[in-house]
Amino acid sequence: MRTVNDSVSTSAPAPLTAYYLVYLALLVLLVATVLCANLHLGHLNIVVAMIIAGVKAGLVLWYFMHLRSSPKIVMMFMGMAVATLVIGGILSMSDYLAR
Amino acid sequence: MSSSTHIPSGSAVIDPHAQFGDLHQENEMSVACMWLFLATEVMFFGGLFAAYVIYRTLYPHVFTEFSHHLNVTLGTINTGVLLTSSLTMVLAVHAAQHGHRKKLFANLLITLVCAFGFLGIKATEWTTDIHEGLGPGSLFTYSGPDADKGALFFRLYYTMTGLHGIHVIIGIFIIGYYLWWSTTPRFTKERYLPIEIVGLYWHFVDLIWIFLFPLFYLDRI
Repeated sequence: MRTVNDSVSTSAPAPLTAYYLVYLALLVLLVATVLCANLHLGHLNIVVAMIIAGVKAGLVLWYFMHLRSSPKIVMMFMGMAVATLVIGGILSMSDYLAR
Repeated sequence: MSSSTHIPSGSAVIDPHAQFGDLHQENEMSVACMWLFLATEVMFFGGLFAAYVIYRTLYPHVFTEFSHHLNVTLGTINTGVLLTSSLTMVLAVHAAQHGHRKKLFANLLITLVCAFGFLGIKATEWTTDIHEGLGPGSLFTYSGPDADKGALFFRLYYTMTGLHGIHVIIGIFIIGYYLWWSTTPRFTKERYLPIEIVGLYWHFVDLIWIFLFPLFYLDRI
């Protein structure tokens, strides 16, 4: 049994390297977002922070949550959730900002 | 209904449930349904994020001012702790897929320790905030300028980080169960799927925090 397991682990080292690289990238982006917050960019600060958060979320979704190899229906589920959120957000904002 | 012919020879035979043609289809459906649950979670948290965005737009200077009361160092450390737990979770999934019982156990254990660490740091922050009069609801005794809108910022802060914290606590119970499960004979590499689904949940908890952290801690001018 042990030899079977060993042969499996040696034949698939690639994804593990990818996981460590993604983790490293996430930590670098975490440091970057904290440093950017001290840059005094005014209201652009939050925009930069959200772009970095979006990239981090993308890395987690794509590599850690295996979105790239998931069934297509998964993309549809998440697409619909985000679309509903955007529609609800636009409607709410148009209401509040017009008061 | 038996479909043992779909299973490669040499591996343990697991029959799919009757409504599925084969195990691959059953696994794919289980994963898809977990994503469907996560889609509802996106909308659940989405409502709160929308509330934050609306009030942040209405009172931009108050929100950026009160953001300074939060401890960025602890927030950054906590984000690092959660990102680390996401790495060990994905390593646990990898170990489960390859039938490495010890690696699965070790990675789930580290994930669990990180989850407790996250909650511990969060509890320290909350305690400090409450002592400074920046607590939720009636515990908000701050009396500086814009205190009423500052109370709104902190209510959103406690609601959103609290709901996230509840998700972390639920995750602790689920990961704890599978930590025990990984030591029983019920775990085989053909039955790795529960770990993958727990992994999806845990990464989602991490995803929410990735957005909460900059919104509350780093929204400064």
